[in-house]
Amino acid sequence: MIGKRSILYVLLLIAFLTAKAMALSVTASVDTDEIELGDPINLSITLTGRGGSLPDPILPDLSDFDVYSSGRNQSISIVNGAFSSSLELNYTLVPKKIGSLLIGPVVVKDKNEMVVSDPIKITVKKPGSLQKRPQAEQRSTRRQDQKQREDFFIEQTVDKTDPYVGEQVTLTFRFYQSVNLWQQPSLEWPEYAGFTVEDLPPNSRSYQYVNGKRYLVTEIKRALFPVTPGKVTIDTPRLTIKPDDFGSMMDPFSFFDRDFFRSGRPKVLTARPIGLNVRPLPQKRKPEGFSGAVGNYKIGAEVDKDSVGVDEPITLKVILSGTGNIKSLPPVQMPELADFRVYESGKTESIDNKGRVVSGSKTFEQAIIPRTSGVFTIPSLEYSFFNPERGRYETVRTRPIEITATGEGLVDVGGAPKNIIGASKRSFAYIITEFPEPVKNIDLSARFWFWLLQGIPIIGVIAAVAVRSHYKRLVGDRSYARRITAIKRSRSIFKSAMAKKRSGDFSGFCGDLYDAIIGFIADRLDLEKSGLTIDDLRANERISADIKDDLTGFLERCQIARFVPSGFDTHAADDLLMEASNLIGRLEKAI
Amino acid sequence: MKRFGALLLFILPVVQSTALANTNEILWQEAAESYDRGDYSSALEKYGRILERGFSSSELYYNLGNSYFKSGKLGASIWAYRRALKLDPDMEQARSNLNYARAFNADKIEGRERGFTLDIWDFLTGFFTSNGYLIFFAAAWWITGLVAAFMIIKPGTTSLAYYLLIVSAIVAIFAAAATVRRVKLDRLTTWGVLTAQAAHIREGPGPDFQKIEIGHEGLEFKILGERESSYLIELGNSLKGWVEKEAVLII
Repeated sequence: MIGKRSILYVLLLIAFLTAKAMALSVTASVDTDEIELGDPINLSITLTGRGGSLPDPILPDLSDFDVYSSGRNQSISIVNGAFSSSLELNYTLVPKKIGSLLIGPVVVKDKNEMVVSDPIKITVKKPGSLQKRPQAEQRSTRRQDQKQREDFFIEQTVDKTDPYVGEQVTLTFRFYQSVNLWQQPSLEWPEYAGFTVEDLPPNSRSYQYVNGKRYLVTEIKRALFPVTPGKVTIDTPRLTIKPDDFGSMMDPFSFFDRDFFRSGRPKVLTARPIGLNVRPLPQKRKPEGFSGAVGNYKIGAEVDKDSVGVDEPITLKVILSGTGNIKSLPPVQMPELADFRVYESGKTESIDNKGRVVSGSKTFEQAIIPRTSGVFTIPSLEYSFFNPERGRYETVRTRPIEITATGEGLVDVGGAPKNIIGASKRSFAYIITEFPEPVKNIDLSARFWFWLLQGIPIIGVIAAVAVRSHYKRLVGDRSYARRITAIKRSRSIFKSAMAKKRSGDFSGFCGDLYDAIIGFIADRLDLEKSGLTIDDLRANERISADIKDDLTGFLERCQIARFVPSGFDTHAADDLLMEASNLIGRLEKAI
Repeated sequence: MKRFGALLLFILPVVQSTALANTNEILWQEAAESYDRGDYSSALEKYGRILERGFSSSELYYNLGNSYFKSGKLGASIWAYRRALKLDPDMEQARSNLNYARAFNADKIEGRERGFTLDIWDFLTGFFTSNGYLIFFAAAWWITGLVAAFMIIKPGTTSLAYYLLIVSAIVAIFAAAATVRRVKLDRLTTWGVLTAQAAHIREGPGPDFQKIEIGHEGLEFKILGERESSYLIELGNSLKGWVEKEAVLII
């Protein structure tokens, strides 16, 4: 058994040493080295090496391409006891430009060594230039790409090629598709250097037949305004699509003609660039106040009120409306208004592109305030523009506006300082001359006493509930009522006893005191008063022992004095009364 | 000697405060004279000195507001009127002048659509100051408490007490809610006003950030925060942005 295990260890050691001896290698290859702009190529990177894991390769700079990862495949094998791994990485590269492009070496670094692949040179030609090559030389993927070129293409057109500077050129972009897409296409517009751009929504979709084939056509329009004269080029937009190679969306029976392995492979579509010859604006008959506006415009001026008090602000609006590049419209030269204070209030734009022609209005707003009273005129305002449709300069004007300002005015008028009291309503001329008291601003919400006071109603309600429940118990609970009223009744008896003392009826006096104490105890303990004896009190456990002796002693003295009053005088009566009073106090606390 | 020292200790603050009051009173009169002559910068300087001496009153801010306005400093005048109203919210003259000065601000802020209910709420809670609503609350609260106590002690009383209880309770709840709103607006919210002729409102704190709008002198806004040399502000239409601190006075 031990011998077998030793052989296994030896074999594993041999396998390990063999694996150590295997070298790391990397190769990079492409499916073709000559393509047209917009066509994809497959870059395949293969790594082999010892052991179960391989380091990730470092890709070269691929900034000349759009790069899409299209798969990763790793395998581990044991041949003659030696472990080896291989990793295959596939990328789809779409070149961004025409010319000779280089895919640099792929680098793989291990702990001990570093290996690199050979660089690959790719020739990218103009679209259509490879079609003339003999059919035999084209690979199957080329054929597929050609088929896709028939399934999808884009084009861009313009409505004019020799516009004036600032004139709208309407660019129409169309995407033709006869096959479904895996996902939404991604459209990348060129930079449009030398133009300002406005979108012209909405985009439209329709079906069209081209060379007998039915296409779904997506149309997007944009307005381009050239900013400088001369030859300019509208570059191609780039539309990246992932076609569904499972067949034509128009042909439900093309299932058997499908290439299952090429589904969703990205493709970049381009269109032919368009050259424009932008004409400069004519110098002849250029108006003096022309500031570069191109289009067809109207001008209007309005005020929110034409009769105001001096120093009262008026809003003056100058509105330019028409067709042209509204956003870049130079401002209207406002007149010097010496009789007014002028504040710029800003400008607003409203653009309407629905008619495929950029139109709208631009409003320039000022707040103007008459300095003095009188009748003033805001003169006519002029605005010159070049009308490309008519090929000439035109000037539009506003009508003059008359403003009437009345009153004395407030801003520049002084006045005898008067106290605010009784001053007119609009009294910038007046200030307060009487020296004021320092501020007495009390924030009630921050005062503790204020919130303390607000607690009183709550206490009142709680007290009311307590009183109500007390009275309710007095009526409904006899023992409670006796207990509460016991002291009152005993005091009443005490008063009667006092009267008897004054009249010299000591026997009656002692009897009253006896009754008062016995009655008090009976009420407090809810006992029957009649028949309550001293012995009963002695036996009652609710009366504490320390009181019991004094109580029974007192009651016995009362009884003796009641029935044998001889020798009982006023002093003795006072002492007895005092003792009774003390006993009541003690009993009130104890029971 | 000890007695004299004690006497001095007692008299000195009284003398000092009297002298201070006299000086303030003199400055006040001098400022009024300067204003009367049309020398508004001198009036401003004197009212400013009174302020620096620790004296504060709504009348002082009101006069400052007028002097600023006459000097063409719209933003500062709005600041002063609002300070006056902060100290005395019932100062009708300051309110009138504030509204007048506001008409000179070049910015028109389109208010947010708040809806009918919130408009009614704004209207109802805009009559009094927080103290005014608090007194309302206290009165209604006490009436509610007293009526409730009365009804507990004497059950089966007239329906008049019952209705009085309901009405006073509703008034107390409303006044409490109105007080909370007024305290939040008047005391817990920091307001600012633009004193520069124009200032950029930017997307972030600092000149490197994109401009959103241009605000003009007298533009009022809430101040939500600050960072470095900028305030984060919110305009009446809920637009938020950053402005340079130098262009702003805190109300």
